[in-house]
Amino acid sequence: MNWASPTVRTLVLAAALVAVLAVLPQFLSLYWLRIATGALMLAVVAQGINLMAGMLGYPAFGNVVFFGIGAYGTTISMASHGQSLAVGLLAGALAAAVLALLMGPLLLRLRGHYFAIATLGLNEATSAVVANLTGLTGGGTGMSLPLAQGDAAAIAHASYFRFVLLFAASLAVVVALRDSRFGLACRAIRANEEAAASAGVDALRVKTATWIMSAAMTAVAGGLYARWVGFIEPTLVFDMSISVKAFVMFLLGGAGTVFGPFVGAALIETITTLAWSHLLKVHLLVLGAAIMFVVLVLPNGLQAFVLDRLRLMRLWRREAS
Amino acid sequence: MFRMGTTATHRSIGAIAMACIAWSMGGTAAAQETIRFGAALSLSGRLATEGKLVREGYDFFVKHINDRGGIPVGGKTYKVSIVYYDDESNTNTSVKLYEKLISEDGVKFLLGPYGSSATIAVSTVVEQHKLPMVVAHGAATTIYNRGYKYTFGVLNSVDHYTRNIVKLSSEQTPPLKRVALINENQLFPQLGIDGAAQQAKEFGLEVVFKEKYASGTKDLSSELEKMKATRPDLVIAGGYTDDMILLARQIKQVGLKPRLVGFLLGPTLPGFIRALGSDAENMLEPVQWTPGMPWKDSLFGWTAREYADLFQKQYGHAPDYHPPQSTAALEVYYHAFQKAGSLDPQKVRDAVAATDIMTAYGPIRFNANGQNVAKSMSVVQIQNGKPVVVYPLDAAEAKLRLAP
Repeated sequence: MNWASPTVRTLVLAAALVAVLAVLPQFLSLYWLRIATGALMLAVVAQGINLMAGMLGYPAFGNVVFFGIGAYGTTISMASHGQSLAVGLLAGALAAAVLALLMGPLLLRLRGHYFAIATLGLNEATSAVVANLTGLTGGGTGMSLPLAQGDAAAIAHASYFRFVLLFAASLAVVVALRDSRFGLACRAIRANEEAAASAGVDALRVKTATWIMSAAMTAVAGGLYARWVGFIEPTLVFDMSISVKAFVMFLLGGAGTVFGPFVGAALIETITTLAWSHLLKVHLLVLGAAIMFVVLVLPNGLQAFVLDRLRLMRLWRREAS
Repeated sequence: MFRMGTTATHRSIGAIAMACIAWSMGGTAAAQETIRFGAALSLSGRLATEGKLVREGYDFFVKHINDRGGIPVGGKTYKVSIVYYDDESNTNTSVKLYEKLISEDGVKFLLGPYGSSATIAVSTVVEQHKLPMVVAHGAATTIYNRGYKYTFGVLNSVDHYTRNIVKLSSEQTPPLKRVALINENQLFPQLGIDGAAQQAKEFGLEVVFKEKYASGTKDLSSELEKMKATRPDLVIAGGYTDDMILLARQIKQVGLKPRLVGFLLGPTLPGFIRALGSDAENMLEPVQWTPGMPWKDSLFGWTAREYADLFQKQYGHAPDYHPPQSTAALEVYYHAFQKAGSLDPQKVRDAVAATDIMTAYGPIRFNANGQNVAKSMSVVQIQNGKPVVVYPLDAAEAKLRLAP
């Protein structure tokens, strides 16, 4: 094995991270386990945004639409058709992938703000449709899943580990994409779409395929959320604040990096939770300040910032010696 | 969100400070132990108006029971305190906070949050922990028909809300025939208005308009223009306070002139009459409770009227149904502790299930789903700026007024 290859190094690091996550519950109360589960969930949503915004340069603000679709797909298969969780998640992911496949060729012709706004519109529209399909989705009254069996701790651990698995899978997808020909095509599109196209990259296909992966990943997070909380309604799972939070996490951690979304999610959830429980309303202020801080001071995210400092220090030491 | 935050923030900080003081005093004095209840309420955000009233009702019980010395359980008397959090009217936050109440703060006896969505989501966490929760403000039928064993509601569920409004409409001469229904597309309003449609069929009214609007809508005039074209005699609307004030205002603006307008909630909330003034006249609301009701509390000895007077003295405003509903939830616990003779959550849960009591809020007895089946709803109408009971006729304080 080539230990110098960036893929191998990243995978080793990813495996280490997942191992740490796997033993983490030993040290957490059920409350903090719930915070950690929520952070992992948002890390996956952020990873979905990372695929679109980080690798392709397409700011998919309304990506939460796939979260909602996944939540409903899973709940409808489980509650109305008696399917298992695995089948439910698959159904949710499939529904989201189909939506991305249908909307991709339309929306992915737009760039920048226009694309961002179009995805917001897609979320609003889908949410409205779901809210009005009363027969299928229960409309505004929402849907419940049957109560999970077992004691509270066992249920909480099961929910957490499902998100760990999903998070590990999302890491693998991002690494595989980053270090493949496909990832190269993505980066080419981000740098200059016209140039990439003239060099033979089928831009629309690459973009649509990326969106489908982003959609499926986000949808499984939505499905696991539904199983975790046991009750969904449109305002809960098509909630723009999920997208906004994930976007901030993605920016804070570092756009286009593998671990950035995780770093951002862990940091923001910890900070807001602590700020909330000690300072109450101040946490909105903290979140707002964090957004401004990232955009002004760390435009490339925390990961890049720390790595840059390390590199500088190494250089400086070399100079000094 | 910042707009509504200040007073709620001050109160919350105050509450935390009080809780800290109470906790530290409990630690040093140790003369008297405390039973702690827990609730996360909408103290800021969209439902802050209602959340504040809920809290006042919980606090009212705490003050008066502690003034009497506390709750006697198995030969010992316990002071009562409540651990509060602010869920910012956000269901996800609410769920997190109930987990915190249970697994960080060690609270064994839960009180409900405000609103059906929060209640339905929170009850899952509480059920998983096998701890009792007495719900004071979750009226959705779906909370109670999922086979849960630890969730009990002291209030009438929402599908019964409009029944008496529809019934009294059918009893007018000539009967009001054409009914228009509108609601926010949300759990509680939807179930309430679905109930109204069902009752319209039952009492022989014709539903000429039935639409819902999206949450966060800031203008309902186009829906109301459409409704106007159907010439309804009776309009029934479902949503929360801010929307209902908007709707009441715009009904006047578009020149819609039904003979009666009823709401799932709104007219009896303090802000409603203040915001609408004379435009609020004649509007109807089914209420869980009014001071005019003939109930007498078996624990404190208050009549409904005396509860209202005491409350007014303490808080400087009259209680609508929210505070006594909250107080009643704690009275359920009071009696359950007596019956169980223990603070074991499982025994208390069983005693709660066997509740059969009278409170200033009304009688409380739960069916197998945990719904209070002993009580029914009255209809109040705003007359000369005051809510008065107009139905059922034997409890009526005034005669129903119809618009010409």
